[in-house]
Order: sequence, then structure tokens, then C-alpha cells
Amino acid sequence: MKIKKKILIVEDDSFTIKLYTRLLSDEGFEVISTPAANEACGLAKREKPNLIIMDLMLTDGNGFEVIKQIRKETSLKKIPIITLSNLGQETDIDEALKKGSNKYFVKSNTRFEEVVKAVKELI
Amino acid sequence: MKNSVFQEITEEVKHFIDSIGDAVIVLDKNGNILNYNKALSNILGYKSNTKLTGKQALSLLCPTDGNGTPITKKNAALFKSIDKGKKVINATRQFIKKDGSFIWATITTTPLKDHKNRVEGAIIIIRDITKEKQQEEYRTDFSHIASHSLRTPLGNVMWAIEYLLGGKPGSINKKQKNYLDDCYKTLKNMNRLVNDLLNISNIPYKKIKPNLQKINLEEIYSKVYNDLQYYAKAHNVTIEINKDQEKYFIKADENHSRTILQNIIENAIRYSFSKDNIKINLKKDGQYIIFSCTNKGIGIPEEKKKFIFAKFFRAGNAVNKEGDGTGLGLYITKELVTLNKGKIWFESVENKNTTFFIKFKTY
Repeated sequence: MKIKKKILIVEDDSFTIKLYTRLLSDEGFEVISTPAANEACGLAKREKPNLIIMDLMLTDGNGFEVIKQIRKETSLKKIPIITLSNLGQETDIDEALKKGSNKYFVKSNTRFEEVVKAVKELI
Repeated sequence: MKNSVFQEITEEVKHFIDSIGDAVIVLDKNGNILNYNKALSNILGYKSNTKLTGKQALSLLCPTDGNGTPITKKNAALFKSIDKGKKVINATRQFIKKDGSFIWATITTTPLKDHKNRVEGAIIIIRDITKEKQQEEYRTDFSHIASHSLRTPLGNVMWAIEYLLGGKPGSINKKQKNYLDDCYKTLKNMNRLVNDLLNISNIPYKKIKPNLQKINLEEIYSKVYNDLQYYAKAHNVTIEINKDQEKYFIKADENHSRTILQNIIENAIRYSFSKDNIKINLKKDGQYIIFSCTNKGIGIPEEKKKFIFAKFFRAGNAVNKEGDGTGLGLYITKELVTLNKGKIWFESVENKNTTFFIKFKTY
């Protein structure tokens, strides 16, 4: 049996998590998630996902710092990160990419197919 | 500089300098204050009778750069003027006021030279920009909150509708599909409105800086085409591209190019007659790439053409056809094209054809 690739979603909006989980599961991925910035690193260390999808404005912190933390962790630093946020200013995009995100999508301006394509390219 | 004219000035000159809103400081070549106007005391929160002459300007102002790093004698603008004879224009600094609070300021320093061209000191002009900086911060906060709070539900519902329309959760009948198409069209319009409002809040403050790089305009078009598929279907129009080669490399910002093409094609969709086939043309013309988008639709009335790129302008026939809209799309598009060193123009006959052209230099 083919082992499913695992995606960790760091996102604090419950409908968004439900939607991503459904859409990505349909594409054949195993999906785990956390709404908390301070749990993201620990969960990633335990679960070793193949890719992380990261929101930036989280209830308990900001995604920029989580990206920075992940890139500092030896065991996590090579995991591709896709930032999927609704912050669309160039300063936000630049900062996320500078901190180590591999791709950045402004959620409401992007079709889901495009995200799936990027996930497949990066895994 | 003991008997310098800058130290001993007449009452008339003093009155004149005191009437200036910006702080003016005259320094000797060691950076000590020789003379200053009233605005300096006001800006720094000192009483007008507190004597500031003789103080070291650096110790008085305690400057830091925009990131909070203290400015030392080595990198201070005033010593660039005193030691190197250079003028520094509009450097941004933070200073500490008497009560310990911070102000934001721009400073301009100019060397003062004697008749033998030897530097005797410097003049500093300080403009308090704290209010402007605060407004900029409020704007950034507003952009963040608006981006997140308005776009999140919109994006989610659009993706959910795409998912349903894609047929994966089960088939839907024609009537259901029509309702979902209408929902999608409405949400797409609302998303466009949010984008316009966020863009418009940034353009006048030059917060948008293009990241000019080599990009393939055809690839950008393909992404926009995919984005707009449902929108076009919902308006009952099709889009067709005509190109004479595979790759059209230009030097421009990728996100800006996407917004530009998206705005132009979205407009073409919105203002086309039903069943229209929108024609996109990409061609190389010498050292330029020309993108054009032609539709058959309501067009632009002759007398309104000169206003078409103006902020908040919408022609009457456009309002009649599509009630919602901000009149910002083409204004933003033109601003972005200009920022990316391109050109935009159009040809239109009312109730017939309209073509928008955009020209970028090849990479």
C-alpha cells in the first residue's frame, strides 16, 4: 500500500481547517492540523510531516515566528513550507519568504488547484 | 566660530527663524549647539526659556535609526556634514524628548563653510513626522485586519464553491449550478472590491515597490486564465489566446503583473455581451511585448474616455450593466503598469469592441 504523504496545517480558523483537510484528503494526502502557533513546532517534530501549510495571523502568535523556529530546528529545517495567508502586502510576502517559506499564496486571490500544484512540486 | 554670524544673529533674523515650523539648529564643528529656533524646544518638549545652546546635539537628541539602533558620532548625519562636508537630505530618525517619549523626524544636515571653504559647523533642520508615522502604522494595522478579516471568509467560501462546482462531492443539477455560479460571481466581485480598497490605501504612500525580475507574461496569463474560468463561465463568456511564441519574458513584478492582467480581463468579462469570445493577444514588437485584450460589449462612451483611468470613475453604461464596482480597478492598473515601467492604452467604440493594450519592455 502506498504511504500517503503527510501535510501539517497550522491555521486557527476552524472552517478553513475543515476545508483544507477535505480538499487535500481528496488529493490523496494525510492531513494533520493545529490552530496554535506554540504547538506547531512540537507537532512537526513528533509527526514529521512532508510539508507544512502555514497561516500568518494566528490567535496565539504569528506565523512568521513559527517559520523562523522551524528553520532553526535541525530535524525540521528541510520541510517545505507553503504560506497560505490573506495578508497580501509585499512586506508580508517578503518577510515570510526571507524567514524560510518556500512559497507564498494570498488565499483569496488563489485557486485551490494552484496550491495543490505547489504542494506536489515541493513534496 | 565664536563671532560667527550664526551665533550672533539680529532680532529680525531670529524672529524669521522662530517663525519656521521645522527645528533649525546651528552647530559648531564639535557638534555643540550655537543657535536654534523655538521649534526645537517645542519638538523636544523643552520650555522656551530652557537654554539649549552649548549642549552636544547628539546627547540632546539621542538619535536612533528607524530600527531602534543608536546613532553614534561615527554614523551621525551631522558629522558627515562637519567632518566630510557632505549634505544629508531627509534621513529618518527617532529622537528622545525631554519626558522620555520618542518622536519620529526627518533631518537634513548641511555643512557651514567659511570664505575659504573650510567647514565651520553645520545646520540641522528637523521635521517632526510623528503624526505621519502613526498614521502609516494605523494604515498598516488596518490593512492587516482588513486583509485577514475580510478575505478569510471570502476565500473559504470561494474554495468551497469551486469544490462543489468541480463535482467531487457529488453531481449537481443545472439549477443548483446556476445558483452556485451566481454566488461565485458575487464573491469574486467582493474579493475584487477588498483588493481594490487595500491597493488604494497603499498607492498614495508609495508603499508599493515593484520587485522587477525576469518573468514570463504568458505564464502569468495562464494563472489569471485559470483564476477567472468560473467567473467567465458565470458571465457566459469564453476567453481565447492568440500568441506567436511560447515565452514572453518581461522585466516586471510578478504579483503586479498578475493584478494588471486580472483587472483587465475581469473588466472585459464584466462588460462583455453574453456569449462573447474575449480575445487575448500576446506579441513581440521589437524590444517590447504587447499584451492586448479585446471584447465585444458595452464599450466606453467617447466623452468618458479621458476619465477612464481616474480614481473612482465609472461610466454610466458600466454602472447600468454592473451595479457593483469601485471605479478603482483601472486606476490601480495604470498605477501598477507605470510602477513597472510599462504603458497602457485603449481603443473603444461604444456598444462594439474595446481593446486594452499593455506594453512592457522585453527582458
